[in-house]
Amino acid sequence: MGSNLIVNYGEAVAMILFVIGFANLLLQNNLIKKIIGLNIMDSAVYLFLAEKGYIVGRTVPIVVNGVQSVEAYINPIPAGLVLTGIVVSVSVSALMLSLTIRLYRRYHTLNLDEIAALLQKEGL
Amino acid sequence: MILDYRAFDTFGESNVLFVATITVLVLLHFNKKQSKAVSETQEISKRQAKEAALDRSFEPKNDPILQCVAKFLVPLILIFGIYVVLNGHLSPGGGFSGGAIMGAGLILYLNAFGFEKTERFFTEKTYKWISFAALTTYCLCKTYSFYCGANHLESHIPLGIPGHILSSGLILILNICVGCVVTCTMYTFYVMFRKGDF
Amino acid sequence: MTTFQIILFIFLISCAIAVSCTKNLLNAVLVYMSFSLIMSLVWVTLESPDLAITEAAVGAGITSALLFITLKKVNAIDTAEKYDDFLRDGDEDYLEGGEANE
Repeated sequence: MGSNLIVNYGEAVAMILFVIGFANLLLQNNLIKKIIGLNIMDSAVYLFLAEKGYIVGRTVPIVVNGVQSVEAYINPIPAGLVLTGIVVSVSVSALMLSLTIRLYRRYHTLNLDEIAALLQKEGL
Repeated sequence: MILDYRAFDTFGESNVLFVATITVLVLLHFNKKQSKAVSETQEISKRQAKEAALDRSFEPKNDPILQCVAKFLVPLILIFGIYVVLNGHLSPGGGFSGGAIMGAGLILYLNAFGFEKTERFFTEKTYKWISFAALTTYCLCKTYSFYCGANHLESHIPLGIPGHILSSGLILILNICVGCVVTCTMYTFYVMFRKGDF
Repeated sequence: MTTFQIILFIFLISCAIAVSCTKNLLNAVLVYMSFSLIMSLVWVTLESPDLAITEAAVGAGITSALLFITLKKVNAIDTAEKYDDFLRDGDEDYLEGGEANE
């Protein structure tokens, strides 16, 4: 059962990184570490996608010396999807960091437990 | 690839950048004149004014090392960014990476020389007009495929010789549009976080 | 190429574990910056230079810059005052060291 996992070690590493990022997102108390965990999770998904487009023995999909046959290049479509994903990931990070700054201005703490306690006192 | 075969995905992604910028603007924009007129809590506006003043006091005040290095590096970074954007269809790079590199160059300029020098060429009006023009050009350029693609009409855009910089139809123009939008977005994120105003 | 890739993957996993174990926020952001840099090298070994340039410019550049400025806005960088205290105490010991030790 484990032989497929060892042959595709890239995908296994992507899965481990996803789990580490997800655990960070859910279990950390500090807001900034949650955001870093979300970024690690995003990177793991992009690694998995790009690994699926890689074919052993072929090279970068840029036409050099007029070689235009399809057999000499890797699959370029997953790379296009990941490119869009990276830019969306930075937008989401910027949005969440600005929300963190507003939360700090209101509650003066970055700890999620304390913010929840303060919210309960306010009656929300 | 992402500008011809999956151009709609790239349009949607420019949309995501636009929405993120608007949200950051709404959350972090601090307008001194307006906050005196609106009856906000006195404490919050005073604290924001103090933060803005504190941030301005952290400006380099002619830090010599940073200014020497920035005088040398910023033109190099901007030229490299423009090269990456223009050569998107011939070598690795394209709109997004070139735009991010140019945005980083502008951020370095802002850090080294302060807000007053940067406001000479990049104000709120600049950002609005560049974003609007770039996104509209992208939208108009790609509507031709609604007419040619499904109806089997001929597309009259010259394709050129592969390997030259003016080849491959509309990809060059789309790269420039995407590069402009990404540059403005990255710079706006940084300025909103730092000062709250352009 | 494969050995290099395996070494990079081990670095990635250790960076990810280190981010969750540090207590200082500044250290966590610095480790995330190096995570992004190693990710950029992994894209090169996977034959996608577009992704490598974009990840280097965006991950190790823009996201890290935004994280640093957020840390400054929430006053989570606490090295300046401790360094000043250390300098001041250190100078006093040096100046009065001769007399106090007599």
